[in-house]
Amino acid sequence: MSASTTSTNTIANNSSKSTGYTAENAALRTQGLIKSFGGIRATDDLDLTVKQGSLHALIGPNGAGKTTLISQLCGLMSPDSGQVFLYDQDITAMPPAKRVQRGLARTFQITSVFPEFNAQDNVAFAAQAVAGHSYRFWRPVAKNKTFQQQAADALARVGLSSRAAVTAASLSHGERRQLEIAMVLAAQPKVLLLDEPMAGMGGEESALMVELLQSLKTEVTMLLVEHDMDAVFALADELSVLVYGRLIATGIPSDVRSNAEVQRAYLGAAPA
Amino acid sequence: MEGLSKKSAVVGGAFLIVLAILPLVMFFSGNIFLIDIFTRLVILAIAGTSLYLLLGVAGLPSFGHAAYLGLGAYAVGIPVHYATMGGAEWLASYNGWWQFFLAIFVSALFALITGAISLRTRGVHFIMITMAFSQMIFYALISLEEYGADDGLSVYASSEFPFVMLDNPLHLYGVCFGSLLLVLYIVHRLQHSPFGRVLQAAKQNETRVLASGVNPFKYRLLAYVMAGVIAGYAGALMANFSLFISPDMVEWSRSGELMFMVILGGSQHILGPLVGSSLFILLEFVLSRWTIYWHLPFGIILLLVVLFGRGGIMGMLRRDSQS
Amino acid sequence: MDTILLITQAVNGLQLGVLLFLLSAGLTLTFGIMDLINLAHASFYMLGAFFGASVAIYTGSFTLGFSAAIIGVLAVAWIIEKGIISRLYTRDHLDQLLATFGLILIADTLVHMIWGPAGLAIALPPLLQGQLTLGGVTLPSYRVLIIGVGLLVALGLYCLVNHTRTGMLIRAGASNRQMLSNLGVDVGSLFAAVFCMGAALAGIAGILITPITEASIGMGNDIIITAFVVVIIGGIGSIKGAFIAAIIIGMIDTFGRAFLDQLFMTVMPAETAETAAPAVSAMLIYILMAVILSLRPAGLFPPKLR
Repeated sequence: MSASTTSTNTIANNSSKSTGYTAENAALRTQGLIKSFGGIRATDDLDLTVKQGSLHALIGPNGAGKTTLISQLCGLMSPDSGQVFLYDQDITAMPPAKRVQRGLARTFQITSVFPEFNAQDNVAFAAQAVAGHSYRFWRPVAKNKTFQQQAADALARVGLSSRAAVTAASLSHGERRQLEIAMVLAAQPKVLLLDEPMAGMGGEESALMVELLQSLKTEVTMLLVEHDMDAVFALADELSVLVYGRLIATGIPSDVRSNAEVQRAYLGAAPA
Repeated sequence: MEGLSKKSAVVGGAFLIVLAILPLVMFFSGNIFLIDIFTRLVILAIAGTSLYLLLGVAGLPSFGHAAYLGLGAYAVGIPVHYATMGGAEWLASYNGWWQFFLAIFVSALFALITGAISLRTRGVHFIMITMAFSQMIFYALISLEEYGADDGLSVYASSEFPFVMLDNPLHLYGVCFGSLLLVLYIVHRLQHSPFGRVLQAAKQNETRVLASGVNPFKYRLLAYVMAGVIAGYAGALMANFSLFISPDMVEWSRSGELMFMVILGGSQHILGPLVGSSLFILLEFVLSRWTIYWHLPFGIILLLVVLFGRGGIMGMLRRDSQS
Repeated sequence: MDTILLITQAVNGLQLGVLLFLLSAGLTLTFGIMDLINLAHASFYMLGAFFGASVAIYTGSFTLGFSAAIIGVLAVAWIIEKGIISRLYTRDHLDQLLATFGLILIADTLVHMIWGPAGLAIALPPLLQGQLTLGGVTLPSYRVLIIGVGLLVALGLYCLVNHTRTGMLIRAGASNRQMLSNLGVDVGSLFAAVFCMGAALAGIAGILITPITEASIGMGNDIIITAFVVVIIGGIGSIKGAFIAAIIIGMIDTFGRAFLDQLFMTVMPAETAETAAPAVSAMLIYILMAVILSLRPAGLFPPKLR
């Protein structure tokens, strides 16, 4: 199947369904989120709702505060004020490790894996990390069938099975991206934060990544930060535009695309 | 770990076999004094292996590891001191179980407290704080007149255990060598366990570990305590070996030497500290026989190893076999 | 406790603090700017003492000895910077630590070979042997001189760091190393200059202390750790932090050793107090460090924008 037909369908499906969404089916939500650095507001009174089961894309020019937002959502940075909700729970003060246990996982703009571990061990660690505590001192991880199986499955899912024994440092850039996705998948998250997964990828690699994310849409809610407009419009059910820490538009992609303010602030300035 | 070459495993294994056989040969051929050198080597290798757990596995460059050797040694020396001189009945004893329990308990406690503070810091701060805490023990020991202050303390009797006589050099060597094997096995299991994986992962990429849902702090603290306990145990053996203990055991340059052994042998291989301490002892033995200024060539070798010998002996073997 | 004793101890504490500052100023700068952890700083302290003492003994002039300490240490520091230290800037801290530990072993042994195992004592010039009476308190004039020199150096460093172009670069480097190369600064020369200046300050500390103690092998190896504590407490890269921390530590250490036993005797039996007090007072500054770090992990005055 081709990615473009699927995405058209999805958008069509989604636009017909979208009226049915209420605040109750928000998977991830922020309310009045503010974060300043010096005098600059990187996040300016932000209300964002990512609906359960959707792929929500977040676009905006460089310096719009996208990564800052992701960092607050996953807990590596704490907001000056405002709240973050995962489903109905206020997780604003929850440490990052706990959020992952609750089903909120992320990937990084700069690929973040364990360079000295091989691919299999990278993913097995991710499986181990969410399986509860690791105060187990004797049995080797290599003999833990659950972790190894989960790792093998996740690697197969992203198409890296043949590279399982290669150290992460020796993988290509695109493969490391895939590996990172496999790692978050092994954590079986409910909500996935993807910080520019296509960054630095060639055309072919990007297409593979789009296909991969497409295949994940049925199982996990995603917030996708991305510059690649083709990818965004192929994947997104909903689209928000962030400029100087503020949301200037949110809605189904076709509506946002035709929004005059968005055209002026962003899309017009940097055509895809 | 997968990157291990057969060559470094063979070299490491050969070291172990030599250590198992050679001292016996020497003992029965009448060179009893040489067994002393091997005993010291093995004790240092135990301490070095505990440092490997921190440095090689967890990536925590503790520069105050000699403190635990000192704590373990005084945990043997002080009960013996009171048992011989009288006083402090609750502490005084020749009983080895009691002394070794004390060594482990005190080391664990010190590691727990100082680790909880040091592990909140990173990089250079961590190095200097661990160093400062060990220096704190040094100054405390130096000012304790009761235990000989900077003149040190004679250990009048070896720890008493059933069946083994630690005042017999051969028995002592057997206990030390057996302990080394046990420690190597424990550390080997640890580093491949889920616990060890957390340590290794946090060494490579702490943010990713957090983003995976694990806060590495408690795991590191636990590793810090384990390493302290093993080094404290080595210190208790050291007191039985040298029968004289002094604050000098704790001085930061001792920690530096210990670190040098691990780096020299290779901090990325579990047998690195053993190889490193062997070479260290050999260097010391040969150089000190050659000149009283042996610290000069020693310092130069240290400098050269750091500047050019990256990865230590085990690292060189690995690179060798990969090319 | 009478006031005279209190003031005398305060002067002793100040003197120790000033010496610690002279030692830690160089450490904190090389740390902050070059990201270099240098144990061999202890050797500059020792070399300052030996160079100075030798010349002072040979010429009979303390002033000449003082100058010789500075010049000699500068020369050695320059050679070592060019030959060894400059290769270490890009290495990790552990490598730096071990390599400079090697340098200490080499320096200690060379001193042993040249000057022999015994220390080198020098007498004070008659001018400095006397006592000064200030407001009813009699103080040895040499201690006052040490404090004076230390405060002058602190003032000079303060002016250098805060009011000159070099100082601006130093501050820029301490908070953001990348910025230096972006500004087109000759980083190599700046690093060498800062390193040598720091070494010279350690050398000054070495020759200043020699008339009181004596020049001896490894004399810097213990005090260097205390200087590290000063650097950590003050905040890596901060001259101001180093100064304040040095004075605090000098005072606490001196007062702890002088008065802790009396303090302990008020709450415990005399015998216990006499055993415990020396041990606790020896640990006092490390306890202080632990407390400060648990409250402020980056020290009292961390350079901004790190």
